[in-house]
Amino acid sequence: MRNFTGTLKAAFEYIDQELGHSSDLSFRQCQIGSDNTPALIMWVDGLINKQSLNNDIISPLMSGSRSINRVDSDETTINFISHSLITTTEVIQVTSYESLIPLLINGWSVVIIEGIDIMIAANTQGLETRSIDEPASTSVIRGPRDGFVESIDTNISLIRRRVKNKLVRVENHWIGNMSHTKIAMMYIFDRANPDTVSEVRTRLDHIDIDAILESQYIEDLIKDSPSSFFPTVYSTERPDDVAGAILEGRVAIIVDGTPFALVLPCTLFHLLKTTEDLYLSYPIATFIRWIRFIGFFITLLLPASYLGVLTYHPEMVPPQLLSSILSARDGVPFPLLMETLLMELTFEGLREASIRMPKSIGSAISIVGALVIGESAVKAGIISSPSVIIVAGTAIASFTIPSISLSATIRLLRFVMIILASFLGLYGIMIGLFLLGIHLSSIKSVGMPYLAPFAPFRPKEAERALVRVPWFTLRKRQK
Amino acid sequence: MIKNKISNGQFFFIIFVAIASLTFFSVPSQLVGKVKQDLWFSMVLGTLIDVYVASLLYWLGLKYREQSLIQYTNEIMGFLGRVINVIYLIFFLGAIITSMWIFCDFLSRSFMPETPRIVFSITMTICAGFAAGKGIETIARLSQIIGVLILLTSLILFASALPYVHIGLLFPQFENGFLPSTLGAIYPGSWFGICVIMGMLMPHMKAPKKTLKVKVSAVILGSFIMTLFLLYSIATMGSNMAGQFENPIYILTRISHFIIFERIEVLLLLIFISGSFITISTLFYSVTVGTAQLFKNRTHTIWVYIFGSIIIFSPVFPYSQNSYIVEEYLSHWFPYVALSIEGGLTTLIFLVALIKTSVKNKS
Repeated sequence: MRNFTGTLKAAFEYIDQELGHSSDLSFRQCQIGSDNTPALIMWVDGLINKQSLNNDIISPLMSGSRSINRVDSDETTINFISHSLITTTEVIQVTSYESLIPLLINGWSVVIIEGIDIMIAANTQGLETRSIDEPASTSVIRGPRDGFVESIDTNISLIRRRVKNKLVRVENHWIGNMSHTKIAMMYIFDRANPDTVSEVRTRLDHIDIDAILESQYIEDLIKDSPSSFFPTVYSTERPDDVAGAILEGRVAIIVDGTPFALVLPCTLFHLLKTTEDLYLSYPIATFIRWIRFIGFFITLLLPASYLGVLTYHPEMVPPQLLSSILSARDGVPFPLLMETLLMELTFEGLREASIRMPKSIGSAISIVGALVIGESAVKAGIISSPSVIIVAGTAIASFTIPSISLSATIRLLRFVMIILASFLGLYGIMIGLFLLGIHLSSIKSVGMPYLAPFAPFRPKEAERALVRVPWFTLRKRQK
Repeated sequence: MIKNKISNGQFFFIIFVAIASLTFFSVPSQLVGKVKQDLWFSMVLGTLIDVYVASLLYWLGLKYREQSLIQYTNEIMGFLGRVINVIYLIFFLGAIITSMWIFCDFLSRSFMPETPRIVFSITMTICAGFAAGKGIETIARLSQIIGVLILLTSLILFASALPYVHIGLLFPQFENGFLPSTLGAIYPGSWFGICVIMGMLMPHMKAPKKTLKVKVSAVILGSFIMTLFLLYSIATMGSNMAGQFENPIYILTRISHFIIFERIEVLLLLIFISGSFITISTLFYSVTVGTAQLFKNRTHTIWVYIFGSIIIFSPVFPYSQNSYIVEEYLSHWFPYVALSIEGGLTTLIFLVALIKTSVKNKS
């Protein structure tokens, strides 16, 4: 550790060299005390709040320090400056360069005084941030409209203002050998399972990576069964969502620089719930939740079942329905498998295209998709209308799944199911479901089985997963 | 200390699903033709046989806590225990191969006639092996979901087949005396007795003291539901006609309608295929873990591959080519051998353990 020697020139040269003569390193020279002792104030442009620097450091130093008769290395002088002159929220005294550099690049300003071997660092952090806005990934009809921003402090405050309780705990970690990204773990002390909290803490401590630019990095590094397609960490942009999760006893991870917070543990049924369920009346919320459950299975199984039933078990379909389907398919040049795959892939292409397009062109894509594929291809006899109906039904169902990552996983597995159904019909789908079932029953999210509360069955939680329990019954239960 | 623990509810559904799926695929062809409308009596006796075996295993399981059937047999019987363990493991393997053969044969004849039988055994072995490799917790969790599905499907089928039932077809009862139905008890008894795997699962129980209660209620519910299925099929088609079919329950669902769906037998079959998957997985887990315990291996994974490669060939084993031998095997050899192992050997171990305990107490 290299200690500060008390010479301004040496100090400036050392810091300048350490930061590679970076052009955003700024300084201001001044003289303090009645004996006009030279002093240097240093900061990194863009990371600090200039108003705070002027009002809380430069101005008090220059005007207030006149009362100091002799500036020397006496401890009282340094204490007077840091405790009575500088008015920022945080001030610390630093003696080594090693601890100084991280403070500088975190938006602190440093005061160095000639002849004194202690430096004063004051927190003048002031990053430009986006204003709080409605989250783009999840919009609600009824419910709070604020979303997380890129600043971790703002995000923590958004949660704190919802749960004003002394039991809320925030633990900071700095992860990333290069990026030193600030990460906060939030939970409610007597609600979160201590094993879960310590497990999450251990996993965060064990991360060894260069940089964290988004919470996805953390998600990938701490999730259970990393090879699994299924998300075992819940990510959200909504503060009310995180507040609800920590109230349930889960642990939230907030990462600086991204509006997406993570929540653990996360089971399959957490991914099929939305915060809006809590803001709607209970019968409607329950009904919508059921629609989502059905949507989940339709997304996974509808095209595969259509293919499997028509190819292997046409006797299952009522005769009139079967004859309508067969007459619609009359003249279609592709086998059923190819037709289904073609349509599903086209739809996936359209979906991707419409996401990447600007909003104004996005509607054009849907018109082209609907007209060209839906209308013209059927009229031309290239594909059959039942296939279009099946693909459209699957697409609508896939939009009911609230989690983007779960929806993507299910859409991908749908293709596996289609292939299995084309080889073995409904038996193939059963085999696919067995394999999926084994996988889902064997994975966990920080110790919580992924299919909980149904397998293993926990009656009270299962009731809450299936039905949005009305608040008045909860009040009665508490009594 | 055993890590993988299963709850009472999970154990209940493992046993219930095993009873239901084993009865669905294996018992009807033997029982309906031979015992006809008195089959309920055979099912009751079969249940009693199973409850008897379960009581012995329960006593042994509590006496030798956290030890499996294979482990305490070694401790109780000494060298002979090793021989008995080998017999148990061969029996478990034989039971998997037999049920896999029946499963593949049935699917191939009733469900997908053009698909080679080996395709069914390969796919089912992969799934069961995957589940067995993941451990009993995974199988137990899945059994909870599949068990509920079987229960719901059964209730729906009972309701939708009600209009076709003619109670008169279930009479007269005991037309030929009690003997046929008493002898017929060996079929359900031997298949229910496969639940001797309870001895392998008991060390995993969270509350071992409740095992017997849970096991008995699961067996009673399972055999009750399946007896109802069998009686329904006789009450719908008549005992003579029902006896002609290989699986009258399957034919019963073919007759029934559910809302607009006319051919719901495929759905029923799929539900019972999932039941078979749980049963075969549990047996597979028991045989691989038992073998690993016998050879003192650290994990059972290697045995999953070894036994898996044998089970895959179940549909092409020599006995399956000749229908006469199959009939002989399923009507006589399997039930008697199974009963003597499930009931006989377990009773022997129980008696030796009892004598050893009383001698120890006296001294």
